Amino acid sequence: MLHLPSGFPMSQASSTTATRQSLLLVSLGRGFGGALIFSLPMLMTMEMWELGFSMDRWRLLALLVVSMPLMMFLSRYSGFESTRRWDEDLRDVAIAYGIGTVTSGLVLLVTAVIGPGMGAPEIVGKLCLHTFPAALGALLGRSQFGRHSTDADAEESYPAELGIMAIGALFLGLNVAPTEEMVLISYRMTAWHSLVLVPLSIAVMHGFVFASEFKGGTELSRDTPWWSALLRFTVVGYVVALAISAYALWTFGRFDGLSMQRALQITVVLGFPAAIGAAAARLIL
Amino acid sequence: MAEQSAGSRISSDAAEWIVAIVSAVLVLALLVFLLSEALTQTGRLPDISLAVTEVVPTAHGYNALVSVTNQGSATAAEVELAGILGDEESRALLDYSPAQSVRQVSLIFTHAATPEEIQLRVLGYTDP
Repeated sequence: MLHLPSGFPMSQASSTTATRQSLLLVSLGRGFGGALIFSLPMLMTMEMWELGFSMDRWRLLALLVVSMPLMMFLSRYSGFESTRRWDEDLRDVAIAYGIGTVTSGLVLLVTAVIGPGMGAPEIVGKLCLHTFPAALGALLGRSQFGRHSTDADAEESYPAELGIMAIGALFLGLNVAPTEEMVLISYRMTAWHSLVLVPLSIAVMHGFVFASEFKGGTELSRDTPWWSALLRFTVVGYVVALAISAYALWTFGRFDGLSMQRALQITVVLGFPAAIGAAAARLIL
Repeated sequence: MAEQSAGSRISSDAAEWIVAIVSAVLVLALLVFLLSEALTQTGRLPDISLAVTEVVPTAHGYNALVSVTNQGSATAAEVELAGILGDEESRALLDYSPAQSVRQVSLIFTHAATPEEIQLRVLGYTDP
């Protein structure tokens, strides 16, 4: 059951219990909506079902552990409520995981991806793997559907901007990371193709960074020289996107048995959507 | 932009530039690596070698673990493998044998054997 502790800080206008409950319902609704939008592509991807029972259990555990601080960060910048204390963030993250588990469990059950006759390791594996993207979507749901003008904007520090880029990279990257197409594309590409894809990713990213220069609340202003923005945001953002891609690919076992060259090429392939997700996140989040 | 004291402003600027320079060096290193690979290893054939690493008795027979190593600089897809032990032949189909990488395949036999007794060969493959 969900329960709001007494003394829970809200804006003065919504002090009555009835208003609180309806606010909570609206924010839970947004959470379920976000969880569905973010995780449905993955819930309906065959490779994700297979990973549920085939992936290394330590990596699955590592994914759940690593996702915690990331979710805490996201909660700080776009959670269910405007939070300022870590225990509130922890509560929001717990709610997001609850929504994520329920959403992915229901969808997996309705689409017969899990059902009777399957062993507990298979069912739990599939559920655990899908819970993280669904919980991430639940947290994002609020910022996507119900923007509050007052929160977070005031404290967009440089590390926070990088964190937002990392989440953007996950948002787009996780959707395609488990698919076999990532691997297949990299097998079809030669090193020359990769040599074109890297500058292309950076150029498209910089377009987004440039576009966000004219949106309020970022560190960049009109008089920031272009190379400064390129180095401090685009290139750093691209490295963040590559790091997120490499982590996702390693988690899904795509690097197993591969040479360094091959692993780098797959990372560059996944780095393309991840980079665009990273750059776009600064406009959206 | 939030107001900051002069001291923390300078140190956070310095940190930003350190991160920026490290990232730029990483991206340049990636490009140099890709360029060196592009110049040295484009357009050759896959070069697949097979070896039985171990034969493990299981409920359904003797499981010969075969490592498929592709030393070439091109990836092979739908690699068909065969192992021959006496008058018994076992086959397996491997999705991909990536360039310069190792994959693991199992061939099942009804008789026990040492790794040396099993003859292996690649029947064919396609381009990915």
